[in-house]
Amino acid sequence: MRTNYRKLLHLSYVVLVLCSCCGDTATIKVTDAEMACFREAVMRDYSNHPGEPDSMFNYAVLKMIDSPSASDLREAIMCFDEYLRKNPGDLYAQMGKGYASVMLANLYLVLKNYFKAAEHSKLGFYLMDEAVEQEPDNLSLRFMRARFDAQAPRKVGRYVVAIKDLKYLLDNKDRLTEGIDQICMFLLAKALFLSGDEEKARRQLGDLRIAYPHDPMSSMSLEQEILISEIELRSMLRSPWSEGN
Amino acid sequence: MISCLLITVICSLFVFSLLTRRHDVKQALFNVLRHRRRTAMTLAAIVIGGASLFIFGGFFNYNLWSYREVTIRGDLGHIQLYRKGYLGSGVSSPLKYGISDYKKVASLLRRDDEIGNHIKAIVGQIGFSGILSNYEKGTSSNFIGLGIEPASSVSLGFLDTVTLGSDLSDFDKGGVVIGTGLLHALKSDYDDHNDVLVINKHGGQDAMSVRIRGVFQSGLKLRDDATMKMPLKTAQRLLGTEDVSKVTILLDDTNMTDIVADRVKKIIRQNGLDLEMNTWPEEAVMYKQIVTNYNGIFFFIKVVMAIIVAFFIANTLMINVVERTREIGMIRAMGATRATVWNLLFLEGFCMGLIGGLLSIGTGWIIAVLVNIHGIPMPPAPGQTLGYTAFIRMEGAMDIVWFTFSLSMITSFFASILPAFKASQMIVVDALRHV
Repeated sequence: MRTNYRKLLHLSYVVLVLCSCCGDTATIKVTDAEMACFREAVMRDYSNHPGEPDSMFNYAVLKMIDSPSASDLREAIMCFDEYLRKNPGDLYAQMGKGYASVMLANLYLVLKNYFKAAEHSKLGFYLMDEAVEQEPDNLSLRFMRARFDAQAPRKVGRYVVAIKDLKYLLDNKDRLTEGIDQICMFLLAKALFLSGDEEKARRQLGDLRIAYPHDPMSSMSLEQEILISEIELRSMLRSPWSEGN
Repeated sequence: MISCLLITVICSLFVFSLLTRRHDVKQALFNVLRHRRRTAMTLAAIVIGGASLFIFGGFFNYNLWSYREVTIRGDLGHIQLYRKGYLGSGVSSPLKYGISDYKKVASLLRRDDEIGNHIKAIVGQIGFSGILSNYEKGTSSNFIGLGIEPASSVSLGFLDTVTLGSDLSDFDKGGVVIGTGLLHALKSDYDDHNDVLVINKHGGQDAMSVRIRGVFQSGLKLRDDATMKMPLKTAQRLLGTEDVSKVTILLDDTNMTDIVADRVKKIIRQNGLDLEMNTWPEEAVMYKQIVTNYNGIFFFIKVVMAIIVAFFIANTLMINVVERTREIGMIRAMGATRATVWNLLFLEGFCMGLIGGLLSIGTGWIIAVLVNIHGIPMPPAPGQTLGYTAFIRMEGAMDIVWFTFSLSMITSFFASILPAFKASQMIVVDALRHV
């Protein structure tokens, strides 16, 4: 469990990003058995080592996946807070707390508790920004933020941040894991579409189709939510791309 | 106060009847249950009126509460600390009345056992003004600047919605956030560089290039057209000072303001700090004016509504008595005294008031819950640019519950006096002949 910590972290984030950004349309093909194994491992670790930072981190991530309720998210935030007290410099935990806060804000918005929604949304985006700006060269953190921002509603205006991040990621294509650049290209098209520059967005999508004609993402429309295939997910997990960054 | 007194009188009369004329109480209850149509009509009158007042009160309550919280949490905070003399003559030159080590003050307040837990944020701010220019576009505009710690701006000023880009950051010292109106005036865009020109602490001019990392909208046109926020450290460097012009304390509960303010005063005195203090009601002049104005309007509407409801209930009870003239005549013919008839009708009114009051609250509550599912879309308030969704606020609304209940009880009581008097004065044969 401990040795697979980094791998778990990545799996958690990929699942988390998909859950938070794609909602029901996400067709993630991690098998049920794999997910069950992941959950069991995290739960066992948390119950055996309740106060330990790593188990708290994983437990927090677990609480954020699978359509979390407000209490799940509050618990996740508490776990991240506890973890950050012991590991104040962990930017992944900061990013995780940011995700949880924005997801909680979304739930408060549904409940029409606008004050809490505004407070949590502001805190969430602030934490994400702080995490990225502390290590501007960390591609993994930039991708996590861009993935979220490129699919955030237009009125939030995060598409400008996503465009900047995605351009940076594509400029550093050689450092990206295989399969990530097509996601970045598609996300960039989506962010451009959100910015109102439809022509550029279509051109970006056209570039993706030319560069990767057989990639499932090439056949997607801009209005569609992003899907990720099992192969892409596995390729991300096989070679953790934050290595060396 | 008057309503409490009247309710006490009414309840005392009921208790007196219960102790001395228990049979009358039973009879009154029996009458209420027997005349189902009349009872239903009277209760409907009470419930419609009572529930309307309940909902109206909750709506009014929400508007005032939300305006108060927007004022406080938008920018003002609950308690403001200034260097001594600032409130007298420092407003025009805030940089000359700076607080030098505000972090020490903050830690002193946070460590206090009595109030530490109620403090949500202690924010050091620096206010200034100047000119912001976009040379590429040939535009410039005056601005009101606010230097604030980025982490604190998440708590204080969280209602300034970022509509483009990001909020302030500790790691992007040259990144500023400006209002939508100011952005349009400068014809700038996200990530554009602009130049700031200010008068520094020593009276000289200072300039700096800043990058627009975010655009916000507060809903207040004046604020959106002129405000620029930047990290506190950047503002201090720009103005050539280490001080802050104001320390704002944000609490977890507005109702704690007075308690915390008293304790803060004591801490300032005990530690010999060179500070003076204000609380939000003293600073929120516009809020006070609007609330006073609204209170006047709403009081008038409430009185008119209460009168209409009272007449509605009284009318229904009067019709009840007229319809029951023969029955009253029969009771008198069987030997009941005038006092018994009077008492009987008073007790019926009491029962109606009690049941009606409780039903009004229940019905009002259910309607409020239903309305709150979607809220009530409202146009922008005076001076604002964004509309909002209003709700019916029931939390801590004991005054509304009491008003609704007491109105039902008191109205039923007074409405039953005249019919009870008339009924008790009837001549038995005339009453029996009544068609």
